[in-house]
Amino acid sequence: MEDHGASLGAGVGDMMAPALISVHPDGSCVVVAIGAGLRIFDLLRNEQVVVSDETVPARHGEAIRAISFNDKGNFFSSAGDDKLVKLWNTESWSCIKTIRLPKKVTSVAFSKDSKWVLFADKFGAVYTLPTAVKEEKDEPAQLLAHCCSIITDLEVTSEGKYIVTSDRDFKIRVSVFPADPLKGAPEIWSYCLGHTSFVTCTAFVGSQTSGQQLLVSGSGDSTVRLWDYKTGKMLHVFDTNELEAVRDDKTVDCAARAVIGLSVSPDGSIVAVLLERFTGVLLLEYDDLGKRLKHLQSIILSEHVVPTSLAFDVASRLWIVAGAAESIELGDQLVTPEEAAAAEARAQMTAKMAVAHVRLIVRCSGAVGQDAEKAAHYELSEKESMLGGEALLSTLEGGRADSGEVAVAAEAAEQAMRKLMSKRQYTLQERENRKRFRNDKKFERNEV
Amino acid sequence: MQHRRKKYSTVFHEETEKDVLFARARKISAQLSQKAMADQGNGAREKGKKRTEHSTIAQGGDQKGLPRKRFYRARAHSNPLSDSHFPVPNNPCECDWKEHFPAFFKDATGEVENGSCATENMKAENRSSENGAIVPSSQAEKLEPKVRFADVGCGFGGLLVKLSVLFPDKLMVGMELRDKVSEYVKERIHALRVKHPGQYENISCLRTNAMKYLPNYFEKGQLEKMFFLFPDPHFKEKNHRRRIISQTLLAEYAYIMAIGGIIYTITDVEELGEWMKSNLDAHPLFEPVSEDELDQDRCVELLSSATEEGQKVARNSGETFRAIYRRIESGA
Repeated sequence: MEDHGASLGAGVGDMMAPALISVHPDGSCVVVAIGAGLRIFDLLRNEQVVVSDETVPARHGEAIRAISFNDKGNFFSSAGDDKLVKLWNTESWSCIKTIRLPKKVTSVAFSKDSKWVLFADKFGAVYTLPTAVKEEKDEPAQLLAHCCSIITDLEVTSEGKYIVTSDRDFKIRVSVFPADPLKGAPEIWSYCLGHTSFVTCTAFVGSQTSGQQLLVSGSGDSTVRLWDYKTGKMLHVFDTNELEAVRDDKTVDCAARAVIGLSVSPDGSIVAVLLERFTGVLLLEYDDLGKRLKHLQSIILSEHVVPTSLAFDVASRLWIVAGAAESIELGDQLVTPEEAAAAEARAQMTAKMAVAHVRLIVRCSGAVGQDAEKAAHYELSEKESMLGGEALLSTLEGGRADSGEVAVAAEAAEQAMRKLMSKRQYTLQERENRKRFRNDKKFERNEV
Repeated sequence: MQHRRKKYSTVFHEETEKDVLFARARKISAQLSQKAMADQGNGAREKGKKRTEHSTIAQGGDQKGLPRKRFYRARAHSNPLSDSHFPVPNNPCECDWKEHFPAFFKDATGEVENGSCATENMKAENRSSENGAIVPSSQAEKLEPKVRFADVGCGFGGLLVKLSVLFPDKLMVGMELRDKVSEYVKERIHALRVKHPGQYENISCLRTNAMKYLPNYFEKGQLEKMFFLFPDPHFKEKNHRRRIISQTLLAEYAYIMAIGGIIYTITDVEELGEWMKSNLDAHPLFEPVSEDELDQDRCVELLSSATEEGQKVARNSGETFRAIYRRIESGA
């Protein structure tokens, strides 16, 4: 078995973690997580934010995989491959809680009343923790679990009644948010089944006030699907392969591109989509009456770089980040605290060195001519005239980035994701070889 | 010797290439007695016929017309957590139950004119779902019979066969992860249908991983009864997550079960019996069924008597532990 494991072993690509971006709900600050580091820029004061952390361990030791603000914006949470979940107070940017979990964390979300922070792990379990600071030590409580499938995204619906989890086994599960989260969430409300590959991300479209929000999901089958999450009914399938912009993109590989990121504008009408190996952003418009998604615009970045994460802010500006950092696997071999500290310092160093591209797409209000359809029009903001200016870029990008370097890193991160998500396919030959090492065949081998 | 023969019969079914087969056969002939060799030869021949000509087997080969278990021996355990490589429907409407229960679907289309039409509509909608929106038709749901009982880990199908006669108008399906065993159950059901025309039309077997894919086969609230008979005990604490009854899996069972539906579990391992009972007790969507009701229930006595595993326990006069619970409405 060992030799077989080695052949599947970790290549460089396995250890790249994509850069993530998140914007404060009131638009006051932007956070980029790259590797084990958090880069925070305050747009009001126009300066970098320095975080303070007195919890143990005081810093992330491996790549951060999930970041999220709560709706009010007073909490922020970061979590990742080091199995730590950190909860931050965003006023002082100090860490108020650090919890260690048994498995790597893939996604973080807050309940709508901000009383609970929820996190999903690579083992398919979702845990919760109260956000309130207490004297006694907190233990995370398990809410629900998918059967041994990596949970890729975790969301709480806008009315706060359901938890939506998507996984690698093509499933989206809608569970009822329990009255007492410490006792778990035993009731499943529906399943949204229809994707033909791993589901990567979920978001909600439609106006929040109407209470008629629908779910959109992106997947490895290169589609974005629209669901009524209360019934599990699939309402529309948008296949990104049908778009010319996607087909004509210069990259040679024409295989299906996985949808890797979704973000919905604050009014719930525009869905921004990131695709694997696609050097731009697709903007889809959600038609509330027809319950459909239609293509609005494709924006290609000037650099030949594949974005890794995106987020709309409150003013419908779309923030995009491209980049990746090497994630240094600590594994379970670490024994001494010194070793752990050294590894953590190394991870922080790599994160500091890592470069990313940050870009901003803004809505242009000036309608071109009388054509009403052109009214909603998005444009890539010039680097020079970008919100936050030079200070923001130097904080979030972390140095003058050569776009080639960023492109290579981002691509490696995508490959790592695909490798993790897709089922390994073995040839008949490999299967036969594997059988030879099965215990019940040993007897026979010895005999030969 | 006995032990060895078992092993070889397994080998015969796994290798497909002819030369491998012959090489093995030569080796065996050198090692085994004349009688044993005859047995093996039979096995190999029968295997060839089995898949293609059901009827020939039903008439000849075996006096009873049923497939013989010895040719379907498989490992007792299978890893439920590994990635599956068998086809799984994307969602319940993609399941082709017609193939499993031809008699029932023939009836539905024969009696009701619209029946076939509604089914066709649903199919067409599924197709259109590839590139457009779908609108599920509630009409089709009413007309199409649905699977109501599921035997999870049905093994060699003993319970299904007994239940089939007790509830002739309910569709029931056995789910088994081990390919060869599910193959056996399919053959067994086929042979039974041939032997007793008009009977055993309501049972079938699926090769699938029930821990992972139940919602791909059944809609919310579809099942009336679920059976978990003599599941794998997974003694090690590390392996408890592989147990078929757990808090997280019970949430899935509660989802696919109708309110009032009954979940039957039985085991001969005391530790597992307690585990299943405590998990069911802890789950807010299940309540224990009272002893009086159990006495009335025709399924209860089958739990320990119908399956091969149950008979084995009875032969050794072992003790069994059962936990039978009802799906109740959520209090919230």
